[in-house]
Amino acid sequence: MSIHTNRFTPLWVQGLAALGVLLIAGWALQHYGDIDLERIRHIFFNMEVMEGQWGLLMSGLWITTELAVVSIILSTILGLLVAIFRIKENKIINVLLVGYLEFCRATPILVALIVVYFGLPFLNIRFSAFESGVIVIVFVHAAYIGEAFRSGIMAIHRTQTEASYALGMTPRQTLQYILVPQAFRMVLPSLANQWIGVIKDTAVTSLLAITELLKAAQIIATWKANPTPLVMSTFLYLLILIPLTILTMKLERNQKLTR
Amino acid sequence: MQQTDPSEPILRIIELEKFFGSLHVLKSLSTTIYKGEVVSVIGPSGGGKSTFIRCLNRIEEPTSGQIYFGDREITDRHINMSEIRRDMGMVFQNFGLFPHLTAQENVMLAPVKVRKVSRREAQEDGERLLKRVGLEDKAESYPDQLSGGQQQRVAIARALAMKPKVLFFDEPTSALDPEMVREVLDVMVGLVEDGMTMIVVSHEMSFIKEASSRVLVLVDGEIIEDGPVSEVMSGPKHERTKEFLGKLL
Amino acid sequence: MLKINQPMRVTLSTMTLGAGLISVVLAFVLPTDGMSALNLIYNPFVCILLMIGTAVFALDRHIPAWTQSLLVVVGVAYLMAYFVIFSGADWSLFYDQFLNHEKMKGHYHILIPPLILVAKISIYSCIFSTLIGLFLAVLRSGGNIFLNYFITGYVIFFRAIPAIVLVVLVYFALPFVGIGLVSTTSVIVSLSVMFGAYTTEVFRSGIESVHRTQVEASKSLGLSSWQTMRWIILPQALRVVIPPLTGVLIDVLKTTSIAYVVGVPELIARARQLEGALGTVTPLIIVSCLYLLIVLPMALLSSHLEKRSRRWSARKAV
Repeated sequence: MSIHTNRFTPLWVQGLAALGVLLIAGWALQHYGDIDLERIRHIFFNMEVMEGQWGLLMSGLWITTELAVVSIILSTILGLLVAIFRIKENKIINVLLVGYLEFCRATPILVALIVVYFGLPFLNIRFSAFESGVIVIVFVHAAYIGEAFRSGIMAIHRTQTEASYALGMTPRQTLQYILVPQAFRMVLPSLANQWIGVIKDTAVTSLLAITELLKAAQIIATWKANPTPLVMSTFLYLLILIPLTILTMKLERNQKLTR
Repeated sequence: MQQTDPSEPILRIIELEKFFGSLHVLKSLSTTIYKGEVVSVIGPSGGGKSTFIRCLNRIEEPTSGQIYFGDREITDRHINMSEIRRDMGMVFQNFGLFPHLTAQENVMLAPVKVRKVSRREAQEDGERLLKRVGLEDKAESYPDQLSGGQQQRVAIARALAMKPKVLFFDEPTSALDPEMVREVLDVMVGLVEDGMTMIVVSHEMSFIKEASSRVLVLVDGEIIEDGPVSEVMSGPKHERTKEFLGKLL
Repeated sequence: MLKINQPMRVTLSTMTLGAGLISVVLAFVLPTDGMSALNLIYNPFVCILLMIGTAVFALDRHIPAWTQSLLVVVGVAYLMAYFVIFSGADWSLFYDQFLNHEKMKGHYHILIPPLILVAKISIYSCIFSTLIGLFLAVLRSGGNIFLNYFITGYVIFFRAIPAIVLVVLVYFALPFVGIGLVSTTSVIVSLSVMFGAYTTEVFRSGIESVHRTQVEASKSLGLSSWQTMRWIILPQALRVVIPPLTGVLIDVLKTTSIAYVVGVPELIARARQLEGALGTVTPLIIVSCLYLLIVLPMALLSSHLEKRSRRWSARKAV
């Protein structure tokens, strides 16, 4: 990783730059806000505000977890199916799937959620908030996961497929014992990225009538007129997501090196 | 030299044609392979040798023509090739070992999953086969820990594990460094001595002259020579063959 | 890629097994409040049918391509028909609710200012995040360990935080320390800083993709550090960087929709207002089509660029 520790910017320039940034930040805070530790604690980390509210926050966390776990499992399965169908190179199926893929990659999750949850009832199709969230998140992420699996499977050298057939293994066996296990390993960083995306997107469902973590925090914060609940919920999100992000970045590095 | 059994044809190829788009790669090939024969297929690159051998187990789909394996027509649309391929083995130029499995697992996989052999039996067979190709101490190694020659020998053991009636070799030594060619050829010669029916696409003169019983010369998609080694080598009928052999030798 | 000319085994059997599994999972996991259209999948009849389908096609039979397509299309059509007929959906309302032109007439222009606002937010966020990314990536290549830790920390933090959480924080929490930002500005700031993390990674991999030998060669030719960066590294890095960068920028575009949450008068907000006024959901549908129309060509351009860049870098002896 230290391929580029050859200094383009000599140390003294870097030192000045860092100092400059700090000075500017300090001046900004001074000029636009009030730095006062006690005050900061009172605003952002006010535990009295949180008293008795942890229950609501935790139930929000639980719902977020439910959403995330269900969505991750379903989107991975669906993604694998999509990839397998795509590999068959059947023109009609392929066109349908590519259409689905491009559509899902182009639609913002928020827009899709609102259409499904607020728009469809006009047609008498009512999905609950949980179902809407799961459906939209699963379909969108399955598209990306499908692409990842597909590129993983297709990257496996053709000779292995041929050798597997030559041994008398059926295409299903080839997929099951040879292609998918290897593809999975190759594709794991992208998969992990998508799973993290799923967890992050559960926060968007706060727009729907479901009390997941972000919404719970918003409710308490508005009621108590204090942003501490939001800060607390952010901590909770980061508690789960930062380790996962670090793990994913490690996986990505690993992959790049073993090429 | 080989004991061939002229009364038992293993493969009958009748007017095999293969087009890649508009490229006519195999032109109405017809020949018969008998049990126990060791057939070397030689010819200039692009002549269709690899395509020919790959059509025999339909890894490459023939455009037209018939191929009979034993008494079954394997070019029939309705036939389940996976079943047929159990009795055919193929060794590839770039080995095709499964990188996520150890050598032993590579060898055991197909017998267990396809022939439904018990794991214990497959393990014993696997150990025996690896020993036969001289790699019993590499059973737990992964392909990326093995040299090219070792990988190819594992590939041969893997093909043998299915107890095939015929073995196809698609340029088995072409991707190997010269030092490793010998070890693979030795294994192949051992197979010849055990009476295995083999079809080998290769440039290795030593094997062709010493171990094979018959030579097919494939040029521009046609078989221009077909006969016992001694005949073809010493007195080829066609100009083209002489030319080709000259370059090779 | 070898044609897997095999029966629906993997296709149908996996599909039907998968669908059966999914429906079982859903039956246990989803809260069924009120009339849910997902009830159709709970229907044991459909479940059993799907599983029989699996069993039948789990045999290794050779099914020609046209039969495969037919079976898939029929299967999908069956599921859709079931959905249409039994979900309680009132499809007669489709035109009235979703594509109502009469009600929308004369009101289309109302969507234009929000559209411009969305464009403005996107463009500002794209520009700022690109600048931040470029700046930080170049800084990072300087090799200062402390600075690098700081930058890596920044990247990890903003890759981990959900966009909506960040925007809500910036808009609601900052005023408490006296930094009160207008909703639009808070969105631009949060998006720029957040996607700056992604662009930093993109530019960093671009810079690292240029082989070290080139740097050494240019140094030995007498080029200064800045000249090396300007004439040798950046042009080559740019080629590697463009496909993933367009991906990030498309993400920025899509994420601007989050602005709705903090009350920016953008497309979704205006659409919902119209919905209340006109009594039809058509505006919302139009807005989603708008997003599609804008993002789709960019996505296609991005994949096109991806393929071309693979050709460029394919010459590398890596």
